[in-house]
Amino acid sequence: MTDAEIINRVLSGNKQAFSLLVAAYQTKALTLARSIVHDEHLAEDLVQDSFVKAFTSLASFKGGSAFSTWFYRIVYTTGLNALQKSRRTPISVELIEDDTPHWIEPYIFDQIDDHILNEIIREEMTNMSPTYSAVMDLFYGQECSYDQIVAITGMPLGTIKTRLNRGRALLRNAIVRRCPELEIPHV
Amino acid sequence: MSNSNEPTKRLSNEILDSIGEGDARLGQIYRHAMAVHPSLDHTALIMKAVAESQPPNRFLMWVLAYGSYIGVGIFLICIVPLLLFLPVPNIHVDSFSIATPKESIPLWTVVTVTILGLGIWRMETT
Repeated sequence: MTDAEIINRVLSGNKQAFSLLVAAYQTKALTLARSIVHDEHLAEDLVQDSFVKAFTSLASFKGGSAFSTWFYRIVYTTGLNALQKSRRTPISVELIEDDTPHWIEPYIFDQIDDHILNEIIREEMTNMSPTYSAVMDLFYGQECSYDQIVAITGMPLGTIKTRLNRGRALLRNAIVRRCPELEIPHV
Repeated sequence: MSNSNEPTKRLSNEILDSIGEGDARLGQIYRHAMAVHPSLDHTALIMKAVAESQPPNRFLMWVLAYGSYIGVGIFLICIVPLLLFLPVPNIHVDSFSIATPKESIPLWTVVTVTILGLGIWRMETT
């Protein structure tokens, strides 16, 4: 059954059909929520709130985009609101001008054990500012396209690319710092 | 002729391949590293919260979205008959009555059906 069919069923009065959407999206929503609030329990509450919001305003979903895009936008905005409430200050948006492309070269993956890489990524994502980690999760975790990320976050495309670039640089730096034995070829 | 002032802006195919492969492998590792354990299934909990919330209501959403138009419509419905059919009180006459003449029924019907029709059409097409 497609998302659109499930939504039609829910709007026709079959509340229980909504559980299909919950089952399909809860884990992805949880990773996105964790990337924003960096707290497991808060992320779980946030996902629950997001599903309730999605349910009550489901009639306003016009199908102009995928349900996932619409729902991730709810998770994203709910997460940012929760973060701002808990910090009681606006989230600082540090803009680091850096035109140099950053990426993690394939040979780095060849030299490090997957378990160590997993650990480094988990740690670094927890320490990373939500400014970067949310966009990183949408791109690498949810496999959203640039257009989808623009629709979800409401940020300009250039900002998204800058944040992804910065996020990759932070991850790469962390890997190089944690694995000094890495052999980096000189170009 | 290549522009020697833009060497850093142009990436070689080798670098582009490296970025593409690096991105793909980072994505794989990332999804594995950040995966949620399957035991964390909160469907029942979430559905409990959903069951306690207000169910989605197409009509309510429609009213919220088009409330301003509905307001204007109601205003027009009220003002048009007043302007058209309310007898102007004659200053020399002590009393007057407000009565909708039978002839106005077709006009009322046209206005009502048009507004209802537009509302239903907008609701069904959005």
